[in-house]
Amino acid sequence: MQNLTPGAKRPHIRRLLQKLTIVLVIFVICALAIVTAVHRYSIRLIDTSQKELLPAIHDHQRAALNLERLERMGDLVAYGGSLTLIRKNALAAQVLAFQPSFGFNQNTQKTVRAAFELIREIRRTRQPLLSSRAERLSSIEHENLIQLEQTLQTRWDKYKQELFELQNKIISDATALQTKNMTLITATNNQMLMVAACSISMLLLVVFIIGYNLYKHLITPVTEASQALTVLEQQTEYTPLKEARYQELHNIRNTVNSLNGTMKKLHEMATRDALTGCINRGYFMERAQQILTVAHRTKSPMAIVMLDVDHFKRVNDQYGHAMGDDTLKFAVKWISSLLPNGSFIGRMGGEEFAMIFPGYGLEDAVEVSDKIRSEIEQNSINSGTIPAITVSLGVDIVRHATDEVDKLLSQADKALYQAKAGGRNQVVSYQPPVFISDESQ
Amino acid sequence: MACHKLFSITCLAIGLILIGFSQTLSAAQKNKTIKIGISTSFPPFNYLNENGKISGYNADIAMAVCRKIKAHCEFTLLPFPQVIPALEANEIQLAASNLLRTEERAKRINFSAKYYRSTSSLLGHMDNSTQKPVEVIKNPDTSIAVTAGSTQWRYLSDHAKGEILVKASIGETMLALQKSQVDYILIPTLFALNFLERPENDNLDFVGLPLEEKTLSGDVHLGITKADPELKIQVDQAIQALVNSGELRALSKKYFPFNVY
Repeated sequence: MQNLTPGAKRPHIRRLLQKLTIVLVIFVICALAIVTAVHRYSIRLIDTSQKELLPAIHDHQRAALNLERLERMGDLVAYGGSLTLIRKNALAAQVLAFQPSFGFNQNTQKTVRAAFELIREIRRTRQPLLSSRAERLSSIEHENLIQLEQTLQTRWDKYKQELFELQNKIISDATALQTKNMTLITATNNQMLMVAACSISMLLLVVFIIGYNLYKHLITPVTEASQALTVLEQQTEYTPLKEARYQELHNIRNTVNSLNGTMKKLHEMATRDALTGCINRGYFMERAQQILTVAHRTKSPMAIVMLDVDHFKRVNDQYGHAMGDDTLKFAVKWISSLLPNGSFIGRMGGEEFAMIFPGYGLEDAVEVSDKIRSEIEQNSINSGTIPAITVSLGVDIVRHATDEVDKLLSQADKALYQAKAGGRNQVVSYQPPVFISDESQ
Repeated sequence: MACHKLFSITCLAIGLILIGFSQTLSAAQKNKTIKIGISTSFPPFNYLNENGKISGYNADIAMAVCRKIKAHCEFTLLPFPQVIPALEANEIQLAASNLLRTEERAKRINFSAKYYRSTSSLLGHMDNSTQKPVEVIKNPDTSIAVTAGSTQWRYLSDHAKGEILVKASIGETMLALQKSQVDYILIPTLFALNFLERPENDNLDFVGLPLEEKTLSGDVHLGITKADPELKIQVDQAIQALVNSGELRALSKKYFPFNVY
């Protein structure tokens, strides 16, 4: 459980979660603030529209209608047949022309007041013509007044066109105001949509950042540790875990890594022969079984060889057990250097060893075995440190799909026995019994 | 734990009391009685009709507002100079008396949103109709009648060089002009129009054009007592509703040859 990099203090997972929570909270606050701001802006817009734009539009509409009234009053003053009618409409025209409701626009006010001036002039011209005083006028005066009346009436008719255009302008102004209002509202709507879209995108980004952090700092180390544990359990090739950012995960990583060392050590202790360094009987049997299973499945050949040091008891007796041990060590060393790829040797007990040659037929196995035999003989003579020794070997191969390790070992052992009986320092291969009944068939 | 329980029970009780209280309050507001101050000056704004009932644009607007705010309303007939003091004393809550807004008045009463717009005009004999009102006012040899406490009176007090005759109502100023007791009167233009349109007044006329004076023209408001701030909000909403529904336009059509709003 020791920290591999002491001094480097690592943050706890709690810190990671705190950080991510802070990111989320900041985002939510920002999003709320923006939404609130836009909402307030839109409320202000609605308020403006309610309090300013809408009344302005209505003012325009009323002015347009009042303008029509003014036109009618003017008509009655210009063409009306009675004094009372003219007076009444001229008075009304004066009051209307000066109503503050035309004051929203300088131009409107000017045009309307000019219209009234004309109406007043018409009234002043027409009143004497219609009053009782008309009879007292001289014919020239009468003629002049009639002429003036006609000129003014023509002017009024022309001026009405101007009033009509003004009315049109007022209506189009009102429409423009309405359009402006609509544009503003549409723009705000679009802004709201934009904010919503941005918020959603930002939310996705934040979720991605949170997910990425959790994946990188939490899920990945846990997954790797879990895979490492599987590797440890299956005893396949183990790659040490990378460093983790957070304390708890780093502890897991350290523990798993050191577990690998412990496992390896335990495995060594359980499978190795302490003296010679080759694998022990139990592990040899296990591996032999694995190789045999593969051989059966792939229908490939496999050889099994038993080896025994000749007269080993004598070495022990003459030179002591220490020398006996050394002899065995050297023997295993030389044998190991001669073993083909994929082959292995195990100590079965005392001075007895067994070897497996996967993929080897009888001939090849005997050849390798003989090489081992001659090499040991030569090396021990030349070594100078251990006494000259010889070894006997018994070879057997897989012949049937039903062959088992025990049977093969015992058959190789039988061949070894024959080698011993035949004078030692030789290789004998197992000869299966010949069935006569087979031949007769 | 016990403390918590006690606290929540207290809260609940206070809440219930508050709900009950507010319901009583709103119930009281629904049946609110409003006294409307109005003067019997002259058509078409406020006058007694042949049945002795107060009528006119002002009376109709006030009643329409009352209907909108679902209040029980009754008219209190007052001479114009007493209207603002009555509002201040909360003897009346609403006044439909052609009030233009001035700073001095705004300190004493609340104003509603506008319910029509007007100007002020000088009236006199037909022969003087081509004179300029500003010059008439500056002439020391003239006499002008005006309603006490009105903005027109305030204006004349500041500007007129001649004699000012103060009357209790617009109707009285008109009577004085008809009887030639004064040379001129200064009154709201919309009153003047109705007055001049009468056949018996065809020897009278506007003197020049309406006065281009800020304090004499513009928005006309209902007066509201400051004692009930809630009432101003209600009245404003009611006027807006009358404008939106076209009721105000219909009332304007009933009394005037054009839309006065």
